[in-house]
Amino acid sequence: MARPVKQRKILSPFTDISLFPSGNNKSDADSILFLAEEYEAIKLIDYEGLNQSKAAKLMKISRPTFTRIYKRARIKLAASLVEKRALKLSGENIYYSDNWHKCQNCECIYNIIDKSNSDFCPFCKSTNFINIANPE
Amino acid sequence: MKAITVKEDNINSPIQDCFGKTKFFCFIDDDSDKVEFIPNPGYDLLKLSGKKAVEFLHSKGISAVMSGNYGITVKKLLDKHNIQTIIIPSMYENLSQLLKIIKP
Repeated sequence: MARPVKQRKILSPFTDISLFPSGNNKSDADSILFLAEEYEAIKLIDYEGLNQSKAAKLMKISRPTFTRIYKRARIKLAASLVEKRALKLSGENIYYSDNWHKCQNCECIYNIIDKSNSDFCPFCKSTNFINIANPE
Repeated sequence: MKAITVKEDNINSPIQDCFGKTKFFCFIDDDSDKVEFIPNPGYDLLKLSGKKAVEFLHSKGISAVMSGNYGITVKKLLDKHNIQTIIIPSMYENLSQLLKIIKP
């Protein structure tokens, strides 16, 4: 039996979206699946400017594993750029270190610091929210 | 009190997506509808502008910040100072749209 897919730690809330090149008429089946861990690797190294060992520590994986993920991410990004294919971001098999909640009414995402006022959205005071860190 | 990152110091200002690089903060009083625009002291800094901004907000007694995106250093500092982090979805384009939804 193949090894099950590992859960990867993601720091900030992740949204499943697709990035389409302008004027792309190709079908959806041609898009590249871009995993959340690959997105996080690109974000930590190229956007935040961290080095690989620091980024690996933040994601709680080993440095060689991080390098492999980062390399795969760059190959996918390059393929998307050169072949003008869409990138489909997938938020499967991830977990968060912070207790992120999403309000269903105003769609804002927030973390809970004070447990006493955790039963409503701090933004619109709606009680219709979901826990995206530990969905039941 | 809450702080929203905005690009201009008026009510129709667009929302700034990057926390540290914001030009102004819009302070919203929790008890009233009073809105105040304060310039970000870390705006001109090339490095660690987010850190300066968090320390400034902490000294002003802010309990929650609202922005589109937070860096790692900023998020750590916000957690350390017990400031709540709220991420504004990209469908809100300017401050007046946000103020319609926000309830004291």
